[in-house]
Amino acid sequence: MPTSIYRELVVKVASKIRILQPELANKIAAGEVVQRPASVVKELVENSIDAGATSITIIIKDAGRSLIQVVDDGEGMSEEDALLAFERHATSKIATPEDLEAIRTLGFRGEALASIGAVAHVELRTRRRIDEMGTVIRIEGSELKERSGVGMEPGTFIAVRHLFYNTPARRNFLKTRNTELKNITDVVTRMAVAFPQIAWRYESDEEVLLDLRPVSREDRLKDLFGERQFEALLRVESANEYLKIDGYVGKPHFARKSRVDQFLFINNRFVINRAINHAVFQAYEHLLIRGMFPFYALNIELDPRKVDVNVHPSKMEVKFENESAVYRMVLTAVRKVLGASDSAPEMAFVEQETSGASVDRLRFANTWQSRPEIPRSPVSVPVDSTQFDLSRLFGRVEQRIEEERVERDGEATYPIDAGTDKGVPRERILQHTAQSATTGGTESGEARAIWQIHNKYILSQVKSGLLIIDQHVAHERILYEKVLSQFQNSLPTTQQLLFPHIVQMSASDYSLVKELQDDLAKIGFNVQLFGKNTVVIEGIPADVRVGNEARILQDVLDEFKNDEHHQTIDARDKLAKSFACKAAVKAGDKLTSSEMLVLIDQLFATQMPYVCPHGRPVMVKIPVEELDRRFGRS
Amino acid sequence: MKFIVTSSELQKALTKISGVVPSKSTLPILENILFDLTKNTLKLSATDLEVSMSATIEVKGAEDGKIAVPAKRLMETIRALPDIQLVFHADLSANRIKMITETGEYVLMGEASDEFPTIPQFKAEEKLSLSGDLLRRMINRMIFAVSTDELRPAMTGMLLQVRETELRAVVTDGHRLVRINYTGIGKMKLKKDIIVPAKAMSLVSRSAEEGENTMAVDTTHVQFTFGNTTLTSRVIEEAYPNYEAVIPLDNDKKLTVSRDLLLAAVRRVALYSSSTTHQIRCTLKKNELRVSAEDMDFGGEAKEKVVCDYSAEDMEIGFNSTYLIDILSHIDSDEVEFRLSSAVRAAIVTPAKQKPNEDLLMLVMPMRLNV
Repeated sequence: MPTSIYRELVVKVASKIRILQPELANKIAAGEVVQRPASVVKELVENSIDAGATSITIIIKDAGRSLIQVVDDGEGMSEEDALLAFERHATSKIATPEDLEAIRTLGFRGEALASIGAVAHVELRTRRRIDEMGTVIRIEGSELKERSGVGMEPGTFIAVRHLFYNTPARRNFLKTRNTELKNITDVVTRMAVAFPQIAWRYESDEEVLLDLRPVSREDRLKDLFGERQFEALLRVESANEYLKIDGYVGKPHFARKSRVDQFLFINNRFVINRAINHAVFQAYEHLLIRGMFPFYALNIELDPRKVDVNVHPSKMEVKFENESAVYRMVLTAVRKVLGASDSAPEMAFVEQETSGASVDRLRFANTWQSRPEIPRSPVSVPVDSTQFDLSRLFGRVEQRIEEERVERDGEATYPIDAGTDKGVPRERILQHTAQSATTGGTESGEARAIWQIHNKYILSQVKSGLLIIDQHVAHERILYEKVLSQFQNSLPTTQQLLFPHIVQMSASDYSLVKELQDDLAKIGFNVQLFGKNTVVIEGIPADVRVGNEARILQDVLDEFKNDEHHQTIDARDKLAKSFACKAAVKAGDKLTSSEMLVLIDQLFATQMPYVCPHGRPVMVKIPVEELDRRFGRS
Repeated sequence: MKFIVTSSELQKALTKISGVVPSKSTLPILENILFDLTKNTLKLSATDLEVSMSATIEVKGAEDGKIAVPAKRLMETIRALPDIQLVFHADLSANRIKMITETGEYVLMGEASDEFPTIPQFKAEEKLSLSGDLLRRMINRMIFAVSTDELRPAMTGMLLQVRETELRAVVTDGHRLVRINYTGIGKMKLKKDIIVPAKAMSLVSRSAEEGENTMAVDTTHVQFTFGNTTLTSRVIEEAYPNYEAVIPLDNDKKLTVSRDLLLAAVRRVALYSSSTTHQIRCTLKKNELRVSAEDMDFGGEAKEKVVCDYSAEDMEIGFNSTYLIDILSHIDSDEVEFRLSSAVRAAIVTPAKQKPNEDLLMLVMPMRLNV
């Protein structure tokens, strides 16, 4: 090819490409950073936090369309810095590429102010403590309109007016006033949860929505969600050299149908991370009814170098260096807390009082939706770990050791003599139980406070009240765990098939089978690969119902596919569930006293005695206080 | 519609066909029995849409007519009556049925006869005559191994293969298989393979009468006639799995053992097998069969020694004890013969001595033992 033609070609092509004008570039970038009023609030508030503010005021008018104002008492800026701040990629937060690897501030990209300045009228007033005068800067659509001095308190004041005035498309795509305000409220709430040491004031159209003093995280949650709701939360605390988890999770019966009340912070930055979310969810195991989501507010602190927040300009996504380690840690921490808590739903007959939530929409769903027949208020009696209640007794089941036995029996409230009451000194109960234990439980039966009603429920006296157990689901839970442990302890048995089942699969399923062949064998599937996306099932787990071979294999594969975290799925779990359900005593089966005692003993030896494998509650507790109230004793 | 009948005769006829009536049905009309009176002949019919049965009895007819009568209440009433004469009177316009005895009067509400599904008209191509004994014996030998898996409809029925000089029946549920061949039942013009639903076959076994019964086949249905009772069933129009291919021919390890001894041993040992897998282990040494089981859940274990005739090399094979019990209890010979090849291949079980004209073969898939 002659050089001249080539050059011509290059010139022709090159002439089509231009460097964009800075205003245009900013407008385009603003599309990413500033998607809606809530993003402006987020960016501004993050700046305030990064500036070390101890008090932040947010004032919103018309859901942020006409005004977003953030005032802080942070370190402020010099006049030069204030001007520079509106330049793209201008930031005080990082200086070298190494800083990017270890971000400790919320912001770092240096885009926010430039982007906001490109699509709104921005007024910035700022004063450093060492300066005598503050600076006023007005920017409209990236153009500097005013620059002068002003007298003011140290800190920064930013007012963003007429957002998206020059990007009608974006303005038109704003949602309703309520939706946008809700988004802003969400942002402020998250920040308030993450930074309890900061005082927050949040107003919308002259109405004060939040006014929070600097407090501990616990008090902050109480302030935000109401004190009564808070009693349903469990403290999560766990740390190793890699990361530190700190926060609260809700008790299972406070789960709601949406994911609204889920706050995950990585180094105090609110993020959305499916893996961690899944870890928390998984920790609840069967405690949750399908479609319900638990409350949680967790902060994970880890070395900023181990996590990348620079995935998206909005910084809501993070990438962990070792996601599975974080996943496991969260799962274990939350599971431990849940297992240790008394999750027996309590029954109360009083009408619910209105909760003290300061922001109405933040209120929990406080009824157990799937069980409408039991009217109950969430926390009628404080579940206090100092009380002698079940949480104390059976909380740390996994640590259950023989030495505790005597003490436990002493405290165990169900097998006590029918004649004993609260007034009897503990020693006597202890003595008594020890005695009945030595006599080999000969005097079981009628001496113990335990009854079966309608051949369906078991009633038993516990220290804090009355315990009602559903015999079928209780047995189901026992069998389920038994079968699971049996699966773990022994190799599976495989029933060989007379007619090997030939299954044609999609290419992806086929490769999955290939990958999982060994795991499938562990469950009991004898599967051969035949090539051309065809597998041959030659043997099946011995306890799978005849005829469902292909379907069960498909189910197992689907579960694998639907779940990114392989460790959590288990076909044996499904098998165990269905076996447990089939083999358990049914409602209507008469049980003798000794059978009931054994059942209760075994039940509390399980890892999660409060719910059956399908998520139904196993027991309901009626506190004595509730009975007292019903009988007008209080 | 009006007739007079003795309660015992009516009961006998009802009992024959009532097995068809579904206990729970989405079509309530099926819970009825159709009464159809023509002169002195009363025809009773019941159907579940797949299998239909009808029986005729002679009555003293007064007024022809047809009506559907609720089966459960009718049966209970008739059963509770002493053996007496009974006037059956139905007001067809109001579907009101009145049964009058000497001392009592019972009124039932029926359904209009045209609500009742029509029993398929049957055009027999060929008829085959079979003795009641043979039918009963054949069905009772094998019905236990029919699959209940709706996903593979062919296996929910019994395969009947009619050949010139031979009748062959096969059932399997994918884990075990039973095949019986009958010869010496005369020459048959019919050459046909049909799959009959298990429900129909168990009804046949219940209703087959002493002496001659006939079986007739058309394209979609099979019909059995026993005296004045007929049973018509849809055939399962599916391809039966190629069972011949899975019956091994080269199983050369032969074990002969007393059926009673082995059955009793397996029954006892099975009590100690895992309640989920029912697995038992058979350990074979020269002239010694050891049956053992262990229960991981409760820590129990059991073993039994059974004398046997075995001279091939030592081996170990696992079985589902329920399958083994099923098989052993359906073979009626003093000694049974096992023919084995390996721990993961099908085992063949046959009576050591076959009945005349009968060739019975059972096959059971082992359970892979976890060593």
